[in-house]
Amino acid sequence: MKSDKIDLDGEDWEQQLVAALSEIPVEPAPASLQRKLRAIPRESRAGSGWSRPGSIFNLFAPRWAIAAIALPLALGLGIHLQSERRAHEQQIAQGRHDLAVALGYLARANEKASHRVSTAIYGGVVEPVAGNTRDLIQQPFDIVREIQL
Amino acid sequence: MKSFITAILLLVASSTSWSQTADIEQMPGFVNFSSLESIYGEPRIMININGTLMQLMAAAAASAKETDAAALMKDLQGIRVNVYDTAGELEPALAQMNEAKQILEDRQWQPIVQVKEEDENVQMFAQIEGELMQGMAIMVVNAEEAVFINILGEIDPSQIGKVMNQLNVDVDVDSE
Repeated sequence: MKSDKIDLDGEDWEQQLVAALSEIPVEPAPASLQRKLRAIPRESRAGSGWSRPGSIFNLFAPRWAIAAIALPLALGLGIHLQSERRAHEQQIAQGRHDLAVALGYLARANEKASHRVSTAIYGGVVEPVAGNTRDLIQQPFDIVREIQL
Repeated sequence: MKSFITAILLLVASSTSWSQTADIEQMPGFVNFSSLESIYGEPRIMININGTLMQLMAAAAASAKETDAAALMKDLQGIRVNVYDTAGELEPALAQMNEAKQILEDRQWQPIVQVKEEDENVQMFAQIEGELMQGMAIMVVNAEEAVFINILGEIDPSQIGKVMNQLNVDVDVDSE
């Protein structure tokens, strides 16, 4: 190992530094440190479960707590909306039936009224027409009679 | 998403239906026929379709391509039908009819048809504003029943037959 000092003012101080570092012997790591380093991958695998801090599957993370509350609420709302919709569909079907009954009564009342009105018109109009016709039939005879005179 | 919006609209519609029922009594075409309950009891048929339900039915008919029915429902704001069994007791029903007739005449409703016979009495009144018929009241009283119909909104009588066919509901009013 060289004991020369590195001339920091010189142009090749970087090469000298690299050469000096490469001459340092490799020291084995202490056994305790080696055990700790080897344990890291094992601990990492063991900690990748549901409760590992920072994992997306951490049950204690706020997002999962919110999801745990929101999911039943969303399901409940969905079921409620579905039942509301079904109830409204039944209401519409019942409404259609009621409307048909109402229109049926309206049509029947209309039919009765129109029948009675036409009967009234027939009774009121036909009689005078018949009377006029009878008078008209008699008139030509009168006219003819005038001509003859 | 579409069904979700529809469901929300239905929820809103259901929450407003109560106020619609209350509002229907304030409408100019409303005629009160409820006083006969004390004489004839509960009506045999009581139909009360308010504006909200009518609009929902119009939307449903439009989506089912029932154009005539949708057009008729769209312009209606409500229909009320009360049918009482008179069992030969005509006087109370005729009194109610005359009372309603007087009210309608005071409100400037136009009498369309008035048939007064020994066994049957039919009265039809319409509220006409401009060229639009805003309401109708039809009253039929005979020995069997007293029928009171109140239509709120515009109605074209010529559409009724077509609409009944489109509604595809088998209705026999004699057996209702």
